[in-house]
Order: sequence, then structure tokens, then C-alpha cells
Amino acid sequence: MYKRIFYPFKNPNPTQKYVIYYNYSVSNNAQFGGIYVYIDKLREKLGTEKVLTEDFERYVYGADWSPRTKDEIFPPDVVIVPKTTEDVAGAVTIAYEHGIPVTAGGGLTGMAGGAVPIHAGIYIDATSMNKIIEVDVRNQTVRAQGGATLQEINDSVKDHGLWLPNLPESKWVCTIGSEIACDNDSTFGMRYGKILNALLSVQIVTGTGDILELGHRKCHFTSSGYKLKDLLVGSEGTLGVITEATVKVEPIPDERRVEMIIFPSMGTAVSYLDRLLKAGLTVEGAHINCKRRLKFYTHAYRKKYGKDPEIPDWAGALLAIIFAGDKEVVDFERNYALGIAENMEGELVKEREIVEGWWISKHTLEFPPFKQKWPDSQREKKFGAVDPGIPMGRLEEFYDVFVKTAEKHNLQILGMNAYLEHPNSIGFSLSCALFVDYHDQDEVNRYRKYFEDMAKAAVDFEGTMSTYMSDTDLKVPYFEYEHGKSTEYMKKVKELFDPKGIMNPGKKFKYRGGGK
Amino acid sequence: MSLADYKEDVETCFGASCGFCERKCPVYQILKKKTFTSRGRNRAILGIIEGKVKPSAALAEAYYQCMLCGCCERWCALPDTEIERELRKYLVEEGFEIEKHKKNVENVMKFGNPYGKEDLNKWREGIKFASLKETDTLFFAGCTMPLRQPETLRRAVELLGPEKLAVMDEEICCGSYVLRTGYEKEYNELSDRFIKYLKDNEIKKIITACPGCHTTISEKLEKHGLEIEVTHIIQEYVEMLEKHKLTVKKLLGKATYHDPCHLGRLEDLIDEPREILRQISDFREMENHGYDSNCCGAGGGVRAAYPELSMEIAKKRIEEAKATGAEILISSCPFCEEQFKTIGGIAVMDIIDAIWEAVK
Repeated sequence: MYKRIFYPFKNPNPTQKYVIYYNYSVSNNAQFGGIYVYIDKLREKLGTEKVLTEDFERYVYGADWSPRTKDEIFPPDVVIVPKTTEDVAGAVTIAYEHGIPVTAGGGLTGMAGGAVPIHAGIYIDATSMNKIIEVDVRNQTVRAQGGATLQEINDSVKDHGLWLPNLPESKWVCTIGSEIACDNDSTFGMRYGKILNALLSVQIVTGTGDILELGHRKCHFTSSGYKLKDLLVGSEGTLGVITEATVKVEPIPDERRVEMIIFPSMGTAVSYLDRLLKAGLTVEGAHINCKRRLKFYTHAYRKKYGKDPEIPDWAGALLAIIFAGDKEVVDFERNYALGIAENMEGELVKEREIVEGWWISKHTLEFPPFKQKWPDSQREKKFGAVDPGIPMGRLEEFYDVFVKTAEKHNLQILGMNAYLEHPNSIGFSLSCALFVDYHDQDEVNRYRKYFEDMAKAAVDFEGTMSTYMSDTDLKVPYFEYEHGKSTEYMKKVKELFDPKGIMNPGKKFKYRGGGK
Repeated sequence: MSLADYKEDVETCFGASCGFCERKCPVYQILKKKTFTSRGRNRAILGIIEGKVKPSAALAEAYYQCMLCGCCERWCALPDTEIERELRKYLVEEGFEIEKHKKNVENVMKFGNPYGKEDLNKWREGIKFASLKETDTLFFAGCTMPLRQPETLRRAVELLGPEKLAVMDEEICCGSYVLRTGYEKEYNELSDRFIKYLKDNEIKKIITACPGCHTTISEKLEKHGLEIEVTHIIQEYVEMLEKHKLTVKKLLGKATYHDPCHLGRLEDLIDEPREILRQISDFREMENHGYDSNCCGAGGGVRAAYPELSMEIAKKRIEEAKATGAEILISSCPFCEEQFKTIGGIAVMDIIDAIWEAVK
């Protein structure tokens, strides 16, 4: 018994109907006037086993990690699990011919819905393309398929003493394609920067099905041509699907020391980091937590001791700072840095359990068996953040905006974290986080309003709306608030890569509709 | 329990959506479709509870391709394997059964084992066990070792001393296979008989030889509130070594150990086999061991219903073992060993046989 039903979700684009497709087959396609003929073509081109149409299969791909209620799961019409670039090109060519939306995704751990197929159509599960194509030890590069996770890339080079240091907390499931497409942040950004610093070359399938290689092969930079490769970073799959990438990898440091220093204010912590750079120290990573934020990162500590770590009342910020390299260098840099801290009202956190609890949460992920942090800390409310960027001198001011905006929308504050994401300079990526009750549509809606207010405030602060989540569909209504007239130029760039506007439609810009 | 009882858990999984279950899931790492992960499964269950996903033959096919090995749960804080078992129960109730499982469950109910064999007690021939009047300790052999490894089982009992152990005249199946393939009514029937036997005979302790029996018996005793000690045979040997009731020599060469999921990750019996193996062999660890051990691919009815997938997973584990430089792959589960012997490429030995060699 085949039937077609319409999804009971609020449709952000009335020109498109959400369709649940039960037990799709050629016979029922005829009943629907042949509108799903493209699915037959996908099967013919890719093989049946790579084309998933069952409702339970599609439902799985309908949401990511972003705050949303369960009524906001958007299943695609069909999921494909390609193995090669040619499979992707074949699928996109069919989509182009029929004007079908195409959304590609990796680990589906995005924090703002970047890879959620809000206009249905074809979802490309890129994780099925996870081959490591080449490890070039001499030139310290790795070529991988777009669906290889950051962990898989690191597993492939660790025996050579190399690593890809551009690592978010989701590194076990975050793919290299997603890392590029959403321009993610990294724990080690203050030394190695964001993924653009590591990205040498990238292969994409454009919105017409063309296969393009963009970049400068194994060379670190170029002054030839336009830097089209750079357009891919933060593009969210709106220009094409990333099918392969070449990244540079770095030597693994022998020694690493992680410390935490308490400062009376976030501004003092910024001044302190600036002083370290002036002194000539190399800091591998630096994260300025407001006092409230630390609680979220001390899950392991709380599990072990049944209480929150004790932080002095005068503390306004906790700076987590990482030094790495040869032992003698690390020891010297650490001691030198701690000496400066003493002269700048900084106090070292001596209880190592606090530091180690944070480090487990942030990087090693070595949670006790069956007690991993994420599900355990998200039963009632979940982590929801906005990711603005602001100039280095305005952190204190912006913290006040964060608190006031959260209070205005009656949302529970989790805390602010300033990740230092630019190599050897003070460049923030902010995480202004809340606890969001994802069972409550009203609270989720208030979170989205908070998201908008904070994004606009960042622009008002001479900053930017986004530093690691990209724009997704959330920032579409106020995209021009930041980009003004240049929005039209950006749309023209998209048209060049994606003439029919089918690639991850509804992200960055409104979906033009049409097609099927 | 019903699927709806896990609503909070599957909603939490939807909310957290971390995907950490994917990294080590042996099935996902081969099939590479998110539907095969705990996150995918929990999402589908949420859909079923919400009325947005209908159970189907395809859904059943997908979700029976899980060994219930707990690799996902090790990196989670939700009861993922318990939820999967509840899903299977629901699927059976809804009429979505796997033919091979159905046949094996019928065999369990008729013959006391999924293989449909009648000669389960043959391994005992010539062994003089104690009567239930002489001891309150029951030795539970299970069904697979008597049929596939009878000589190993005889050695196991000889090392322990059969005169201190009683056995059931006809063993009542622990129900592991039935439980893990979703047949709750049949499982409860077996459990009731099992529990009645323990009560009627005032059993105080059960020694098991099979990891699957071990976890299943422990679980059912807890459920019925029976305070009966359950040990795995390895624990008995460790105690004997500590009390010098057993002496061994380092007679084996380079060896590694595969933790059966039901013994290591799910029962925390991780150090005990290593204590033994370090005394009798040139022992080395595989990269994934203990809580992080990879599954052999046999569990949860996967070997019976999806042999190709099962073998693919076993092959990967063999490669891990060979990478250690070991000449012998030792384990303590008849299913795991059967898997590894089928693939070959390395000598496979049960820990009982390894100890037997070392005391010889």
C-alpha cells in the first residue's frame, strides 16, 4: 500500500511541499505523476544500495545538533551514500536536470542547522566517502575524501609523527568536508589558526555536476589567479559538494602543558595574552572562559566529586592556556608565562582535577566508560550558542550585551567562551551559550530571537555575525545587516557555481524554489 | 517495558546528537549509513514513538544488523543496547521477524539450544559431578561449548574439580539468543523455568563458561531479586592461582587476548584474563582492548542472519590481532572463537585450553 502524505511541519517556504515518501517504487511514482522520476535515475546511476528512500532512513538525516524541537526534523526525500566523486557528480547532474535541492552533510553535529535539508530533495551522506587517498610524509600533506573524519585523517598520519591540528570537539565525527564547509573552530587555533590555514586544495562537484579542483596543489600559498578555494571555506555546500581535500599536517609536539589561570576580568585575560605575544611566546591554544562557562566544561570533575569546582569570588575569567613543543621549551614558556601572570593579577589554578576535567571535555574526550558528557548533560536542556566575532578590545562590553540579551529573552545562561582562533594574534571566536529546553517550541523560538539580536549586536560592535557556524538558514533574514550591497555580489558568485540554486538551498540566501 | 518507556532517552539522544557512537561501531564502520548507528536507531525510535516513522521489513532488516556489542554505549551515557533490545521486541510484536531468528528461537524452545541438537550432555560422559545434595554450586555449560568445544569444556571442569560442582540434568537454556532477538514471551517462559529450578534446588552459586550465559543469568537474577553469586570460570581460575591451588608456567608464545563483549565491556571482567595470560604467555595488547575492544561480529543474532557482515567484522578483528605480532589469539567465548577460526590466519585458542597447556 503506497501513500503520499504531507509533513505536518511548519513550511518555511510555501512554494515547496514537504513530502514523506513511503515505500517508493516505480509503480507508485507513476501514481504521483512521475515527479520522483529522478529517484529512479539516481538508482540507475548509482545502484540501488546507494539510494535510501525508506522513511526511517530519511528521518535520521533530518536534524543535526542545533537547538530544535522534534517537530523540526526535516527528512530529505532521498538519501544517497556515494563512494566516489563520480557518484556525487552523477547525483548532482540528475538534480540539476530536475531542479532538485541537494544538501550534503558529514557528522551532522552542526550547531545551527547548516546541513539540515530544510527543502527536502536529495541528501548526500558524505561520510560514506572516507578514504585517505594519499599521505605525503615528505611534503607533510594528506589527501582525503570529503567524508573522512578529522580523527581518521589524524589516525592516518600519527605513525609518521604528524597531525592535523584544526580540531573542534566534534573531531571524532566531524568530516574534513564539513570542517571546510562550515569553517569550524579549533582547540589549537592560537598557533595553527582555522582550517583555511591548513587547506591547500579542494575538489568539488558544482551545482551543475562539474568536477573542479580549486587551490594550489601541495604548495602553501599562491599569488596566481583568484582564490576560489577560499570561497569554499564557510560556503556550507551552497557552491558545491566537497568531495576531496588536501590539507597540510604538522609535526606532533613531544610535550604539552595545559594550565588555567584566574583573572579578575575577561579584559585582563586579553591583556595578558597580548603581553605573552609581545614577549615572543608561542601559545598553542587559549580559551577565555567566563566564570559561568567553566561549569559546563567540568562535567568529569562533577561526576567524580559530586560538586562544582571552587573558584574564588573575585574571579571574572578563567584562561585555559596550552603550550606545546620540546620539553625544555614548554617548561620555559610555561614558567615565563606564569611569571607574567603574577604581575597581572593572575592566579594559577592549582587543583589539577579542574584543569584535567576541562581538557577531557575539550580535547581528549577520555570520559569514563558509559559516562560521556554530551548525552549526560543534555537531558532536560541542551547547549545552544551564537558565534559572533568582535574586535579584541571590546570583549568586556560584549559580555554585558550577552548577559542582557539572554535575560531579555528569559533564557538560562551557560556562559561565554572566547576561543583564540588566529595564529599568533588576538582574534576571537565567541561562543555565547545558553541552556535551551528543546522540548519547548516557545523557548526554542526565543533562542532564535536571541541568536538574531546577538548577531546584529556583533555587527554593531564592528564585528561579524558568525565565526564558526556560518550563516545557515537562521541568518538569512538579516544577512544583509552585515553584508549590505556585497550580498548581491555573493549571490552572483553562487549563481556561477550553482545556476539553478539547488545546492543546500535556503542557507545564506532564500531558496528561489522551482525545479520539481 | 515498551519503546515509549525510552522516550526520554531517545529524545536526549536527539538533543545531544553528538554522534560519538559512530566512531567505534563495527557495523557502521563497514556499512557507512547513519541508520546503523545508535544515534540513527534512536532517531528512528523517536520517529516511531511520534508516529512519523512506521515499522517496516526494511527497518527490521537494518536494526537486526547490530551485535548489541555495546561499542556505542561505551562512548555514550544512554542505555543504547537496552533500547535496541526493546526495539527488537517491538518489531517481533509487530510481526517483523527475521526468518533465521524465528527458526533458532523455535529450536531453543524445543531442544534447549538454537542449533536444534539433542546431544547436549554428551560432553559430560565419564565425568563424575556432585549431586545437588552435596553442593549448592551449579556449573552452567550453556549450549555452544558442549556442541562446539566439548573437550575444552571437559578441561574446564577438570581444572575446577567436578566433585565440587553440580549440573542440571537437562540444562534449561539461559535464553540469551531469545532475549537478544526480541522474543520476550519465550524468554520469560525460559526464565521462569530457570528461576524455579534455582529456587527449588536452593542454588547459592552459578559458575558459567559462556559470556552470553553469564550476562543473561546475572540480568535475570537481578530482575527476580535473587541473591545468587554468578561467576565466570575465569574468575574461578584467578582465585585458584592466587590461592596457589593452580600453578602455571609460561609455556605459550606471543599471545593476545580478545575481550568478548559480554565479559569485558558489559561485565567489567577485563583484568582477570590478563592476570592469567601474563603468567602463561608472552602477552601483548591489541590497540582496541578492554572497554574499547572491537566486537567479533557474532553477537545479537548477526552471525545467524547476516553471515557476510559478521565475517567482515571478524576479519578486521583478526587483522588487529595479527598487528600485535601475536601467534595466538586467545579468547573466552565460543562464539568469538568460532568466528576467528572461520576466518583463520592466526591460531585461535580458548583461555581454558591455554591454562590447560600451562599446567600440563
